[in-house]
Amino acid sequence: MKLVRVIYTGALTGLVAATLIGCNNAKLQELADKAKDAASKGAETVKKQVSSTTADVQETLQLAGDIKLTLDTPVETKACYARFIAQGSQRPTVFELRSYNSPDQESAPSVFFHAQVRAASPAELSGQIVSGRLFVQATIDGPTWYSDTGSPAEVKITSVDDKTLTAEIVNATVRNTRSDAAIDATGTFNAVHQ
Amino acid sequence: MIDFIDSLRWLRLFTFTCVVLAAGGTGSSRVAMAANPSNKDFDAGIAVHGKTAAAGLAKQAQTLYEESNAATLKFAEAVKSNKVARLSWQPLGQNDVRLNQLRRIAQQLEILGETAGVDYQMRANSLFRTTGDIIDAFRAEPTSQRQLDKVRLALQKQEPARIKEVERLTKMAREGQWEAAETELYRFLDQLGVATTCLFNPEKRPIYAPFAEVQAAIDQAMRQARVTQAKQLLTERRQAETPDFAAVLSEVQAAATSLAASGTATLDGSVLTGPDAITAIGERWAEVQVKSIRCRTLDWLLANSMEAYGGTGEGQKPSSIVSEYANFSAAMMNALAQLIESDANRTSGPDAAALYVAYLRACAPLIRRSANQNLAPVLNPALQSLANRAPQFPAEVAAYTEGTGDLLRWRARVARGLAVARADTFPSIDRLMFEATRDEGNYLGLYSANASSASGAALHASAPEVMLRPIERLQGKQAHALDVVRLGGNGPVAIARYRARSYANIPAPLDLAAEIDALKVDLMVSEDRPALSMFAAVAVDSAERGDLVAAGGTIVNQYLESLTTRFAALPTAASILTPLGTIPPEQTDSSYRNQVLMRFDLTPNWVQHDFFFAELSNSPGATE
Repeated sequence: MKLVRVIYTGALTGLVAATLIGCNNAKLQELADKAKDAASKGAETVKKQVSSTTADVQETLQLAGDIKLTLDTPVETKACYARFIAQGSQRPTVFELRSYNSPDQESAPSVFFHAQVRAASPAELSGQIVSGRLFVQATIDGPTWYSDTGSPAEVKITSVDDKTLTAEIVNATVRNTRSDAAIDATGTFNAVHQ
Repeated sequence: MIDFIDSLRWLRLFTFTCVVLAAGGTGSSRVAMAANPSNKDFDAGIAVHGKTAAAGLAKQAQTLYEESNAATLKFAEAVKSNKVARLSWQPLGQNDVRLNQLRRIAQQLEILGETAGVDYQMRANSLFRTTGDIIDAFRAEPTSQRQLDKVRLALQKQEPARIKEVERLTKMAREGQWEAAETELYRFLDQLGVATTCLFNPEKRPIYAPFAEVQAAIDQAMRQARVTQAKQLLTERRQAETPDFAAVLSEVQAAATSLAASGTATLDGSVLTGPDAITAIGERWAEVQVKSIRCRTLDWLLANSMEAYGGTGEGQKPSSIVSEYANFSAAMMNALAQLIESDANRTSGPDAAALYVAYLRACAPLIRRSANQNLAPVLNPALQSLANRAPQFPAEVAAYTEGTGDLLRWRARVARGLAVARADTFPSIDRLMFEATRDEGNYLGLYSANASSASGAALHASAPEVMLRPIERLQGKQAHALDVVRLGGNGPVAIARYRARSYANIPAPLDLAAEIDALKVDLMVSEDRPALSMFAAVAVDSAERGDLVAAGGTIVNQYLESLTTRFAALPTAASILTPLGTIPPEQTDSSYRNQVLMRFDLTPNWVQHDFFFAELSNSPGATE
């Protein structure tokens, strides 16, 4: 709801409204570029707009992205966040893709991908296939689709820059907690770094 | 055909016979077994909590019950096969006397606060109803009349001796020799009873009328004496069980002071590190909890003895042990946090990090056992404070917590979802028990027909009669039980903790190696890389020990237990039956003495841990 309020009160309503229907990597880049363009102009009114736009863009970049998956039915989220959490004591780094930026803000549909990787930065993951646990809950109180511990989901990191990360599922079988049905999952993640 | 053969009592008795035979035994072969009634032996007596007087009385009562039950079955078979004429007044009379003796012992057990007393009264009443029908059938036989005429003649001749006996007993009563008078009274009446059992009531009345006054006086005096003695016994036990809350807390505080000074604490003569002290104190806490539970049960019985028998007019105070224990537990939680802080304040650098890990390991079992894991938020600040004393370490702990927390949350969600999906085929065991033991038609069980919750199970009929229905309906059925905790930490049994008047035994350890390994991999835990967050430490510890959210499987055995025996004599090792830090509330709608619970043996097909779910495809049970 915070995102929606920001969008409609912002100066560049039409531009940012695009995020309402899902922000892929290109659109996110576009937002960032337009903010830079606006910032380069000197007019006072434009400055005001720039200030507002920059705030919106930052907000958007922190609260944006999308996930589009196909399970038994399509599952789409309006946000996707990539987390790269380096561990000490020679433990692997935790890499996560989530449809929420914190558990207390989780809403349905909800998607969570968790993997342990050996990489010093997100950029090192670009082009790599990452194995991990995939969880999807399409509706509140509905069943959860999950990948078995013995059959991890494989996700290819297709691009990484300083603000965004895109990935796609290359191999994932998920199982339904309620029906026990197993299904191959496909789809993409357009994430912003958290 | 004789009418009563079609009666419910006959059917009940016949069912008893069938089940006994199916079990490969008879009542007489199991004299005075110490077990509780179960599907394997539903005639077994309800275990008593008293170790002296009650234990001896229960043994006598069970012997009388089994002898009487066996004799009644024999009589009933004779009636069923139209051989009533072969019966004799003497065995019928002896059986009647046995049942009267059983009633008298049952009353004494009741006074001692034993559920077994209530049960034996009901068993005697049930057998009296059946033998009454058998005696009616016996009296209807022409050959019986010739036998009974001889008895009548003998009784007429005995009248002067009876009058003399009444005079003798009255003299003893006047002299206050109550105990001796009681012995003599019932010695005489039991002999008389053998002869009069098969007579009609109008014939019996004039025979017994002369005894009425002295019998009432002796009964009243002896009952009062027994009530006084029972109260004294219960009061002594209550005093002996009362925990010294302050002393235990002082010990913990002293340990904290010692740790701050030297890094060690002495408990029970052993010099311990801080984490080891946490483990030892946890055991002490569990002992205090068990004692508190015993005390509450004894308080029920003391209050109940006043209500039932009047007593001396001193008024029984309501039990305060529950609130005292709650205060103690709150203080104990804070004292444990203080102990960790005291130890933390003397350490820094790598020592602090190592100590933090050791404390996590020591605290994990206690946190898992605490009610709703409410110990975690109390200890966490102290543990964080300890972690903060090692440079860089707080950041490592924070990254670990951040990198494992959400995965655990999703793992829990999946585990919960998989268990919920089985709820229809594995209903909760307490719900099944409630439905199987609710009064219905001629069946009297543990709950009234309109009861809505399983909180107050009470004997509505004798234990063997109550057990028939659950044996028929629950044996071999699928069910799930909640909150499973390994007994003794690594024992061969886990307990689905007590709730809604039921608990369950589950074999341990179960083969969860694959799930535990996967959990450890997810949590990046290995021999030399321990869990760094409290949640992860509790997750690994509980998984390795076999503590579970739920277990679903097949009911293989069922037992009926007395509520008061279970908790008045709760062994310290069974402290896990209830969560640490609380004494679960109990609801009863009548006397505590008739309150019962059921224990089940469950062979699991699946288990739900906090963070994983496992189907047990191979035959469950021990893997070690």
